[in-house]
Amino acid sequence: MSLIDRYISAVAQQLPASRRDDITRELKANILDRMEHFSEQHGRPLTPADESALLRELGHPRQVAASFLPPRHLVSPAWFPFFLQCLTYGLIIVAGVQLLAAAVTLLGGGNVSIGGFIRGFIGGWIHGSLVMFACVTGVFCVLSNLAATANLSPYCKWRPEELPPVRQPWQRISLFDSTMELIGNAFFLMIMQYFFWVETASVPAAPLTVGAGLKSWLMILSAAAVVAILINLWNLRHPYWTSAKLSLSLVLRLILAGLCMAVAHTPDKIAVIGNSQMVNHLELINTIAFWIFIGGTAVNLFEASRRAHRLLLLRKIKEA
Amino acid sequence: MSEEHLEKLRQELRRGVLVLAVLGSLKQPHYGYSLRKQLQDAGIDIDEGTLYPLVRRLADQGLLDSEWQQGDGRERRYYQLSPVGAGLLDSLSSEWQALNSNIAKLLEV
Repeated sequence: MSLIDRYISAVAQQLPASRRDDITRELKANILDRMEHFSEQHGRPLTPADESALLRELGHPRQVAASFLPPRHLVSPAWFPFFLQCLTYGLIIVAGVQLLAAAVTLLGGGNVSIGGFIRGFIGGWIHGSLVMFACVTGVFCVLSNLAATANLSPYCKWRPEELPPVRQPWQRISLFDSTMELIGNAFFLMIMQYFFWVETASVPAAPLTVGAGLKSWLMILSAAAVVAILINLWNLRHPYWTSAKLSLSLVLRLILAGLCMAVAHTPDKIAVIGNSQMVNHLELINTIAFWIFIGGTAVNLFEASRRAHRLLLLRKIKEA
Repeated sequence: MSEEHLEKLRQELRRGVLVLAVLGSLKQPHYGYSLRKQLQDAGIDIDEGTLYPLVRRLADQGLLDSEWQQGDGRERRYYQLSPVGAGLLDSLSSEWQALNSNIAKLLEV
């Protein structure tokens, strides 16, 4: 079998049966013409090396076969921006679900450690992301290759009036920030509710539990977390800062700072279950808890000052 | 600007007029390789990987007629402008002339 026949056969393998014979017949004729011309130019018959070089110049059989067929996309350029948007949302949703699932496993008992929780979350997130990527890509592959789906894109029905009234780059709230904050708030709400309702709840891998002092604050902290979650959802729906949103967020941050400060100064935040060795370290553990809540106060005050600053900037923009 | 960048832009510029060049060349019948030679002689160097699929696409669209002919002991597929293709060539030629003169005015500024 000659090199040309092997090449033609390889191209034929990549073509649909209905067009195979016609395309390869013509391709072979064109290759033979090309070789004949080469022979005339050089005044000698072609060597196997010349044949090989000419075929290499033509391109790989798969590429040559593809060039004779209509272009195909896994995800078409028209759908690609929406595909990326869905992947981004998917990654964040998977992260949120995995974090909450890992928290349920952690609080559900068994011998789960903090390290096990982190490993479970990361492993679950990678696995979930791969499954999500495959599913989203599959859906977009179908959408891209069916003519009937062309009008299904959300980019077909947008209205300029729906665009956010954003004048400054800082007014935009990134999807990542909103969702991470939402997941974090949901996670802490779950933890707080767990320690509030479950009498014998303990910190995994340690015989520690919430003390009476901290427990009295759990419902108030939970209420603040619910408000924060509602603001997060609002930010996801309308991802930009307005005066109303900044004012509300500023008030919430100040309340959270006050709550953290009050909890920090509450005695008996952490308690020990049973006659554990931990009793000797209880003072140290409560001191650590104190500084964690002081840290929470500082973070919330910093965020409140940022929102106050932005509120002033927004007012200046409106006055200008 | 790098030579590579310039070459990319040049190819992009020429890609738009390849259809016009191919249709114009096929007022006379040609087989694949002779068409490529004719374009090359006219200063339009187009690689086979681009030309042959393009010719087939134009034939599929009904702009070219084709038939297999024996010659020099070998069969070749000859292409020629169809009546529909001839009409399209006239329209595209006018479009090209207009575009050319408009661009020329802009370049003179």
